[in-house]
Amino acid sequence: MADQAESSGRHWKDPPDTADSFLQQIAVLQEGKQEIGVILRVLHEADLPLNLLENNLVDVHVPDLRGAARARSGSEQADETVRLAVYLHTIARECRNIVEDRRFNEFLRTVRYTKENTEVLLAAFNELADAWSAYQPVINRLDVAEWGERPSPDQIWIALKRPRREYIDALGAYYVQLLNVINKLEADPNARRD
Amino acid sequence: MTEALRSADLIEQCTIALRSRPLSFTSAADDTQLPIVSLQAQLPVIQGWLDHLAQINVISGPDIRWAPRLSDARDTTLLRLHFVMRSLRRDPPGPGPLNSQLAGDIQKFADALRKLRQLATQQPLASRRAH
Repeated sequence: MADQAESSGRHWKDPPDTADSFLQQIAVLQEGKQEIGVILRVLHEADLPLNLLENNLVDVHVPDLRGAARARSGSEQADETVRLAVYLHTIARECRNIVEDRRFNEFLRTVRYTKENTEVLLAAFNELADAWSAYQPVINRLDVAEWGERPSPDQIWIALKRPRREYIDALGAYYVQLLNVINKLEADPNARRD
Repeated sequence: MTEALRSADLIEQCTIALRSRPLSFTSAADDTQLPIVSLQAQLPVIQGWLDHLAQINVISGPDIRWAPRLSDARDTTLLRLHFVMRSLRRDPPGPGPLNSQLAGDIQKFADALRKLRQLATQQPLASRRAH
């Protein structure tokens, strides 16, 4: 575990080549967009119960998202298991951080992703963060809920409905703005990964 | 100019698409082709074109009657573009019908852009007639 932490620390301490760094950041954005998009599609098309966001657990060890997951938890562990909702929000925040990163944002300007585009994405993320601040505390209560206690698990599931719906709506709006970033990157031949 | 006209055409198509079938994950094989995403992608191109058109005035323009009309149409389009951006910031659109404010702002922007496009493409003809 210590080796993993050191390995990760070395990654962040050594300033990577700028082009490589941008490619890594683009890869994280593309993967983030992909993962959020898949879940949104499932929720919209498959008519699955929305509580899959809390019931499904995700083992977080996607290399590009590992740093974000560790930063969120404050843990030294490289991998961890989180609820799908937590995982999605971690991805969303990581993508926001990348777009907001000064050097990467300057790079985005070169592919015609404007200051105004950034403002719209940040506005979408702020709405997502607001929705998360109402949703997350209720999710956390699931971990400590017990039958015979108040609130009971079934009461918490009922209490989750509204903040979950508002979070999904906000995630959809944020996803549209992520698509806008990807659209610009894919339109620029120099920014493509393949 | 060619790129700007292509963007104006795309915005027109996106506006029609947004009116007839709002955002939907099921309607596009590639999400980056969603009408609202395509429309947003064209806005910087139009912004650049509007900045370029600002250089044309009565003195520099080829036609003394055409230039003020173009300038007026350009200012209107720029204002409409700002309203669209403001609405996007205030309530970023998600997968569902656009809110009425944004839908209205996009429609007015598209209308203004269509008029500007018509005027801009008339210019070479007017210029040729003058010569």
